[in-house]
Amino acid sequence: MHIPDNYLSPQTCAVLTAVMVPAWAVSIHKIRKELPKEKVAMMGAAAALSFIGMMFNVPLPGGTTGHAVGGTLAAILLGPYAACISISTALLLQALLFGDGGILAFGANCFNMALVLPFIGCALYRLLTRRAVTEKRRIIAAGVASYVGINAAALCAAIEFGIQPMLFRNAAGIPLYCPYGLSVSIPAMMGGHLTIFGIAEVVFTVLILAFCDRVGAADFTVDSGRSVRTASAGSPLRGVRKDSASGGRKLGVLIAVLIIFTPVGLLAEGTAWGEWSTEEVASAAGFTPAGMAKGFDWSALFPDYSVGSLPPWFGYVLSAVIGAAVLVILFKLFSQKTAR
Amino acid sequence: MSMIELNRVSFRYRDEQEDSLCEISASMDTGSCWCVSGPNGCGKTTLFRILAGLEFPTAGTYRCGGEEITAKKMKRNEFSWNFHRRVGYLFQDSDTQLFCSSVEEEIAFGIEQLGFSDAEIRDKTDEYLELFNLTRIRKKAPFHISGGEKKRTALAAILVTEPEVLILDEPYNNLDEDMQAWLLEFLEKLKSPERLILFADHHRNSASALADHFLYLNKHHRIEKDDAEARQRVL
Amino acid sequence: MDPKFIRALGNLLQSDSVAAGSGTFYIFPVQRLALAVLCILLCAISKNAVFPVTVIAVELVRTALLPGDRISEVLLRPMIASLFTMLIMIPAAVTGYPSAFGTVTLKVFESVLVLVLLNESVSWKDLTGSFSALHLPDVFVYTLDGAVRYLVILGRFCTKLSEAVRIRTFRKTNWRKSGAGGIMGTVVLKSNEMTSSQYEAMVCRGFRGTYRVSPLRRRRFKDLTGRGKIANILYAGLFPVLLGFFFAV
Repeated sequence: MHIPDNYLSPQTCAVLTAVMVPAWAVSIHKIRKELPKEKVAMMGAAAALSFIGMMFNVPLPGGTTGHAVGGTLAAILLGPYAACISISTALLLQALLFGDGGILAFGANCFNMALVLPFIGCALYRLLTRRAVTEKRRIIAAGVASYVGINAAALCAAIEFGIQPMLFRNAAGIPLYCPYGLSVSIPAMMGGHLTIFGIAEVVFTVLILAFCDRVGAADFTVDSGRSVRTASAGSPLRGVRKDSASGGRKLGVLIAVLIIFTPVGLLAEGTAWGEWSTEEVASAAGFTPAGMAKGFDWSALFPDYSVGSLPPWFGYVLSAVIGAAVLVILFKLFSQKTAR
Repeated sequence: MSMIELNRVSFRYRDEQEDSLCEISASMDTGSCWCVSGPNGCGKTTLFRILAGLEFPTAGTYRCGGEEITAKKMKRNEFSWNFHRRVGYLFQDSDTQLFCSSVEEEIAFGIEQLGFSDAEIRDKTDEYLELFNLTRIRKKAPFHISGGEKKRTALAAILVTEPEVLILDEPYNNLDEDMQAWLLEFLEKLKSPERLILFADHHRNSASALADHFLYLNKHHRIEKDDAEARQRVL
Repeated sequence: MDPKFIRALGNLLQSDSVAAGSGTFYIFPVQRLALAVLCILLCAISKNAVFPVTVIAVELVRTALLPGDRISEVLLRPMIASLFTMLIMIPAAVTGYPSAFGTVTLKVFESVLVLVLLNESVSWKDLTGSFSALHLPDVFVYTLDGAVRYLVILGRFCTKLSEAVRIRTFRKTNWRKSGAGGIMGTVVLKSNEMTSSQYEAMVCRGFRGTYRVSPLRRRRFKDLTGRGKIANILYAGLFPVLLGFFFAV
């Protein structure tokens, strides 16, 4: 779902970025005001989880791939505002360091995955768990919310892709940017996300949420500080409430285990829909859209999560390690700042 | 025979015109506690440095435990070691007295020089850290701790070897009132028939509470009055 | 020398307050030091960026595990160092060796990060103390300790003096011009005085001419708990792993 550069017109990118700026501002304000310091540091863990989750590519017959985002998960754990900032940061890191998702399209990617996804997912989750519910219902609600959330995000991405050929053509009527209209992009994107990728997101969310509940890391299950109810209804289910430090440590172990398994994501052959290279577009659409041929090109430090001449799996693990570490560091620094 | 015997001791620093100490005579016994007072620059610190074997009289004799202390004898490592294990000296400025890289090593240094075994050194160090309430900062470097903590460290470092003669140069310097009260109580406990304590002090209250002999040096570097008169002067 | 610089040095040495020395997983400082040196050495001779990047990844994880208030300090130094390197390496990038620009910056970042984290995990006391385990003469340790001590105390003294000069200066002047000579002279005198009184302090506590590193600082393998022994053996295993990895890439 990471839209690369030059698939969207600069105008589209500008509009979506303009939407994101106030969203970020409000989120940061809310976090500063409402989220306790330790929770701010936990945003790093959420961002790292999301970062790693996005590395587990799932294949779909027909040569396209997709992945979980973990946006709803972050929203359930820390509230939608913190989720927005966490995922935006993970996306920024992916764009800058690993060339996954464009620089110009950063605003658009954030709109889909860091705004639409967590807010819709969180709203639905809260709706479904309005009354005090059992552990099982909570998990089911989280699954449903994450499924709806990721599909809403995919729909947004599909629409952004699809309106390009309608709005931006050259004199001869040939699309300047993404060559596929709504009639192609929506079925293509939604086909994947309604089925396999949606399930991937549900599995990712449910498994990690259950894990957090079990180790007591779900101590930080607050809906942006508003309801302590969910927090107290969460972990003591098994009668043991571990201190959040040990919960945090176990979460770290979980992240480490996930990192080790990231190369599984390499098994998925092919490229995700809408993330092809210029050559791939040319061969598929029959022509090279002008905006893509000579567009903005960012050379990332580790393009496509590879490091130099190393075997891909090693580069992949290394990328996950660096990404997770940088995110945790960033949010620890941020929590330090907000504490002052 | 007294523990410390000063017989008409005079001292003059090199390149100075005037004596820093003039014909000081005194005899101090174990079991007593002496307070040395006088105006600034009267030679208290010089007297203490002589008593601690760091300077030597230019005229007169200084005997400690019956043995005359001279520069020549002090050059001999064995003699110096034997002397210093019996005489503990607390510097006026703790900064210059502490030279190890942590508080615990500071305390361990003295007993290590006495040739204790490693296990004994550990036990004794732990004991004194506890006694002086330094356990919390035992790993810290002496130059990273507060003035009061430095003073306590220096005291612990000296007392750990259990010297017979204890020379304290303005021990109340840099201490707040609570610490002064603590120190007073502590020195009171240190008094014993086997030990001689000397301290320089301006604080009249503490001096009166602790000392049983007094020595007053005037600005001409002489002993101005004998014991009884000095006592009146100080109290 | 600028007083600010001296103060910064003092801060660098301050890290002994977070001394990690007594936990169950005590790793001999010699091991840590040797591994850090090996890392930097291999990084310096590595032909591509793979090795430094891998080391950076591991070190970043260690950084991420530090408490928040330490992280900024730990990261600041390698950042500054690599920024300087970038400036110096600009001509190389312009004259057609852009890859050298990247690798050298990366290597500098890696080396400084490794050293800063070493300083973070081992206090300088343990580090100098560990030299005695290498059978270096104890006087060597004594000299190192003394150097650190003087650096801090004289640095503080120097800062105080320059502050005194500044207070008494009415116009805005460069303190270097106004009284640097006097300050440095006083510092030399002070250091002279300090050395002689330090010797006296040592003699007063029964010093007999030969310095021995305190037994409190010395740790032998047999003193460790079972867990500590295993941890040290495992740590030693990192050396062949690191070397093997280096030759594999």
